[in-house]
Amino acid sequence: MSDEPLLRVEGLKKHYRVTKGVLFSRTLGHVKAVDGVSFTLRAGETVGLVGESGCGKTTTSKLILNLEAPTEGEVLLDGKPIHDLDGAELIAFRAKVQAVFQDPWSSLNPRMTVGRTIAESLIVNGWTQERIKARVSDLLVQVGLRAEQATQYPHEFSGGQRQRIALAAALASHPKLIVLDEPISALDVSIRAQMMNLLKDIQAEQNVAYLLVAHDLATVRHMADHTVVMYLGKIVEQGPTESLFRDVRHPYTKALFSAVLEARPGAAADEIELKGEVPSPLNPPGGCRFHPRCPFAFDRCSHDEPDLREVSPGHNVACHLYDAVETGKTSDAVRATSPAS
Amino acid sequence: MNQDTVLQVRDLATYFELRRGVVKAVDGVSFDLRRGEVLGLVGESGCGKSLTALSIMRLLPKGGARTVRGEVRLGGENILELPASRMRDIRGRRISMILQDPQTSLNPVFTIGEQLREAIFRRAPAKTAEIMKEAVAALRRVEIAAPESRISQYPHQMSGGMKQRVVGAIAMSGEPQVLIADEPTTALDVTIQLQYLKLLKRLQTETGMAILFITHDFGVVARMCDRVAVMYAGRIVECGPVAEVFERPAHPYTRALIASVPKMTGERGRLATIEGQPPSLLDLPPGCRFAPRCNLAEPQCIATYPETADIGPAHTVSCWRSDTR
Amino acid sequence: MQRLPWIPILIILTIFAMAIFAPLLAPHDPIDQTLKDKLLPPFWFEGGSTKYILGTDAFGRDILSRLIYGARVSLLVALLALTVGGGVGLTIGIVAGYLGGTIETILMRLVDAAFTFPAILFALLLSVTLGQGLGTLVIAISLLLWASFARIIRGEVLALKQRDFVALAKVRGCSTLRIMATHILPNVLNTFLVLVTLNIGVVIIAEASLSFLGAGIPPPTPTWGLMVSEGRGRIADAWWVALIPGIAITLLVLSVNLFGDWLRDRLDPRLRQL
Repeated sequence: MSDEPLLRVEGLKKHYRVTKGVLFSRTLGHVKAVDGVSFTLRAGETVGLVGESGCGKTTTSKLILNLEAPTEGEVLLDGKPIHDLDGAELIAFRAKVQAVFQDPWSSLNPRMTVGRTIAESLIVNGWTQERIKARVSDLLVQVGLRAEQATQYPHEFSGGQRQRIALAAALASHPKLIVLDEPISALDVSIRAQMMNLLKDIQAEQNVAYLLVAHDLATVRHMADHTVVMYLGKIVEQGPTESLFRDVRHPYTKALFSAVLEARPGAAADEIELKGEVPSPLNPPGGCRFHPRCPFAFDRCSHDEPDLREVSPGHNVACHLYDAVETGKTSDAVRATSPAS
Repeated sequence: MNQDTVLQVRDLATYFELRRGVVKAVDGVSFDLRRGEVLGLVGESGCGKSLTALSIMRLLPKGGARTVRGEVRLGGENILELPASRMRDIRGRRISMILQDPQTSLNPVFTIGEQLREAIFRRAPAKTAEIMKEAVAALRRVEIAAPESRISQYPHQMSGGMKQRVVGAIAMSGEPQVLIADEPTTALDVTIQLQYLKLLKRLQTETGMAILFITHDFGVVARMCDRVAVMYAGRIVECGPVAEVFERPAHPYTRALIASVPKMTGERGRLATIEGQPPSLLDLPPGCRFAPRCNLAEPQCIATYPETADIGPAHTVSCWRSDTR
Repeated sequence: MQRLPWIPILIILTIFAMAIFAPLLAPHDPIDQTLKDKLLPPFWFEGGSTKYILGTDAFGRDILSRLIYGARVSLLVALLALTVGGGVGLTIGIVAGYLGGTIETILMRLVDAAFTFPAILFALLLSVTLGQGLGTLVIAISLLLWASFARIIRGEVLALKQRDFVALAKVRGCSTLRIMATHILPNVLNTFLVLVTLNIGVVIIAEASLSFLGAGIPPPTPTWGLMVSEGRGRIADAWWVALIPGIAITLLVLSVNLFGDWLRDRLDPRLRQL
């Protein structure tokens, strides 16, 4: 097997023009929803994409799903750029990359039997009736439902069951990658664990890769091999889940970790409570985008944009506190306040 | 009734009467809420936690839902028996509510100031200028920056977190004894959630109001609450001090629920799950409602509903097998 | 779940039966004038005769027979105009709503233009150029209908397009045409159905106006609208001439609406479980 990862995201940017007026429209500015994001995803691995609303994680997933075209940058699947595919090549790409979305009540067409929904990608790919029928039955059983439920309509199922159906539909064409956009956050607590276990079982059986978009760090910790943290369209920190959770570096990531409320009374110790809210992605702050809210910000942060730099193997941070990581004292001072240390 | 108890709920039952049968959404809920405490009411969707709140407020959805029995005593008076006009005076003044979605809690066509003014005027009619001053103070109390300029803004000009603060300011403007918060942070981002919870806690300590905090998130319970009541299929199955319930959960449902939440530390292996689904509220089993999903269930559990038993200081549980932990 | 609306269904079936079996049911020739029997009231009034159960009009034609034959024309016009106008509106609404962009802008400007368009005037023009008749009437009424269908369906499609299952269909490799046919169309059919029932009244009234203006079916062929128009001037002394076809129109429109309501509940799986 070659060293080429399954998915490579390179310098991905998505800017939306904001205009005023209908006929003689005037450009007010650009919302930089995604602004230079790069990461890779290997076959059979899970990458967790975390951040708060407006950080660009959902836009990134839409770009990877080829539902939107990037302003700049590329997404490569098996080394091939995905955004200029068409015809048969596009259909082949669609079979390889599938998705499960957050809202189980919006994910299924209410006027289509669940069997038909699951079969859709197979119909598009020209499978025969008998093969489709057999595959749909297998898939329903695989996600913990019964084969004869194929003829039922979505309203006959609970939220958790619908999410299983959505997963079955995503699995139908034997994809290599499934984008999971908040797949469990709309589900009940006791159902979430079932769904997470099911996702892990399926990954173990089929070697499918997941891109998990989530806001809940504990979920990401549980599911992902590699974690990417985004803030205002940029990656602020990324690394192997184990090492990132053990040694959180970026002040924003630290704040996110502090905001996790553990099901354990008295767990809250030294919290970093962020002041204010995420600024508008239309005209984001200059320099480091986090600096207006950062408790550790200094002079340089307001005019120089930090690049991602490696702080330990595979673990990258975009923060000026780590500019001189070997000699600097600041980083030690910051590390001391890390909740994980 | 204890001196400190501000809200006493006894055997509250709210049913939906449908053509197909009776949905027992809230089926005999009892608890006390004491002055200055935060009581968490946790459970999954459909367990009846929100409907319990709406029954207390007497704001049940039109068409079907009806409180069929029980008492809700607010300062010794059963508010379920009050005429509707008296209830309107109580709402917002002595007992107030914050809902999950700040978007729908505020009226989009009125400014923040106008909506606050209405609430303040209802409590204490005064001159417009004075009320405006009070409205600004109310916004400052919920830590809204530059309240003088915010007051003339419309809801759509504010972020979700900000709107929820305004909703809080309105709910607390009547200085209520009891605040019911129904998933107030579920729609917010995690860092904004933390800000909001800290704010709520601070205001609660300052005013000494009691909060009934409804949530599905055990993390929020651990952070916010003094005591917690766990609901399942229309009934409270366990109630006790937060530390006690988390350390020694007595009901198998509580235990399984806490175990199924992914943790930030420890093993990353398979999560414990609760198999199956909650029972249909149309057709409830005669015994323990959790029995069909419980791995400790015995014939007795299926036959009769367990009585509520004391198992520690202020810790109660409804389970025949609570000795096996 | 509402129960089957028996009375509206019976009324609709009766009117349909009247239309289909008109030659068998009508006691008289609908265009046969018997001037000596003109303006007779219905038989249960003084001066009425059991020969003309619902009375006669100014030309001594039997109102019952004209009503029965009129159902034929009115229903046929409604059916054709709703199929053509509604169908065009549905297609344009789906295409504009789903595709968006320039196509949507152009199509919706056309819709706006259609609303400002003097449809009646255009119908008159048509009848002059093409000649009076069923075809002209159907084209004229379709032109009146399609724009409101297109506008409402497009609104529905815009909301539908945001639902995740549409994006997921794209992810599964469905073509634009397939998405419109299998995901969008079935989900707007309810709205379409409701629009159709609501517009039956509009069509019948439009047919009446156009017939009155001489741009509809040429007299003496009876249509309900024409009958109302003809009786309009005599409402004071011979009220039945206008009122009886008026009641027939009201009954039909009301029954179709009630039936449409029931059908919508029935077809919507989300409402079906309650």
